[in-house]
Amino acid sequence: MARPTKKKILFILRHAPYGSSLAKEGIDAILATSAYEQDLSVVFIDDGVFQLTRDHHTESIEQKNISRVLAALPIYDITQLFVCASSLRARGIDHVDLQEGIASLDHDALQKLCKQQDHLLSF
Amino acid sequence: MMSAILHIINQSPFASKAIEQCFERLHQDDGIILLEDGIYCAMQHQPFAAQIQSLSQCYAIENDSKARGINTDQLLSNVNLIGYDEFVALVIEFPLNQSWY
Repeated sequence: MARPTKKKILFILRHAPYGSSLAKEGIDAILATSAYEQDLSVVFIDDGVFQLTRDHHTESIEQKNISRVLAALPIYDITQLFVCASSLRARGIDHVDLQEGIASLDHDALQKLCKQQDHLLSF
Repeated sequence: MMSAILHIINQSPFASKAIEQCFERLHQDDGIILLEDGIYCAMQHQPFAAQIQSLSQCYAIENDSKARGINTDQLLSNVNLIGYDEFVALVIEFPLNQSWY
């Protein structure tokens, strides 16, 4: 039997890392989905860009360090990682201050990325 | 390929930036459906009235509007009030759906 074609799935993460459970749930969903060998990509927009900054120290708030989990995504073959350039600009964050391996997208490229997908999942 | 997206908004325009951030990325082929507190985005007196008015495809859940005591004459004229069956039909009809919360 022919293998079913891979679905293109884009995870859209638009919330800051620790103020709600959305960021953690998004990452859990990404890791769970990675087991099904689909064509996954992840984009961080709006407050989601705060997940990508470095030097999170979460021990004192007793939460899992999200940036450490994100840095491990390539181990799970999730390498299509993107960030919205205008969301970074609006928050005064420089792309070089993010963790490595995240490609910056302008408005048109982001729209194109979304519309190429089979499914969008928002967190 | 440029698939149209049905954007799903369930937050008030006064309490959340969801509708504003959705409009920043909306494409002209896309549609919006307003439900729960998102229904307040369909009212005439709210910050994004002009942008909602300019949409060719804008829908709102009638039950959520009625539940909040909103009369149809308070809503923007281009907002189509729909039921849950039509909501499901729209979700199937659009190639992509995106929730904003």
